[in-house]
Amino acid sequence: MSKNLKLKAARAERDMTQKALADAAGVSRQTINAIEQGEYNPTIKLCLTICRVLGKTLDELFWEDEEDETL
Amino acid sequence: MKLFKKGKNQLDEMQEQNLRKLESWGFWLTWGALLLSILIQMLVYKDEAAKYLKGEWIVFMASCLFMLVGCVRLGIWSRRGIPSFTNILLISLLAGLVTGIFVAVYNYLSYGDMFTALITVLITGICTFALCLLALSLSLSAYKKRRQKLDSEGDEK
Repeated sequence: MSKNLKLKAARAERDMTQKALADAAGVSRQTINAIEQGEYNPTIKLCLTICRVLGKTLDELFWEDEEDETL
Repeated sequence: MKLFKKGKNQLDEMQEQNLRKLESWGFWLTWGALLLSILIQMLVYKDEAAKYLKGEWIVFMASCLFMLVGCVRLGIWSRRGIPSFTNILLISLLAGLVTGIFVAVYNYLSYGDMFTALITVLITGICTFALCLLALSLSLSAYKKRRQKLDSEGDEK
């Protein structure tokens, strides 16, 4: 799984730390870090929560083209 | 000081998944260690083994039954194995062979008689094969029925 740079960028855009996003989404900072590093594949429920917190759509944060998925 | 928050899971989904993986590993390690401990004690206690191993045996069989019933209820056969008669036949043959060899070593160490050991290998091997085949056939049949029921549930429209 490739790193989720879109999530990192959206978080930076809102000037949020991983901890702040984690608190807002109701998960641990370790989980947000693992998602950004591409080490954890979140459930659709958590994806939606993160999208709501950051004011983005699922496509904007989690869509991957086929070539990205194989990285 | 509060030790637990009543009713609320303190873990997020990733921590929950990691804990479940850990629990699964813990279960299978304990299961394997228990089986190994039973086999070693059988070799050590020989004829008196049944007297000392009742507790371990009950726990071991209860854990097997728990997994079997749980898997059938969920319509799961195994992670990689294919649920077919040929496969359960091969597994039963393997079980018969492994048990036969184990009993041969056990008997040879106990009585030192090669002929008796070989005869018991045949008898134990065949009995284990037959019992395994019977148990697996029943499980396979229960699994297939359950799978069929689960696949037919719900509205496909």
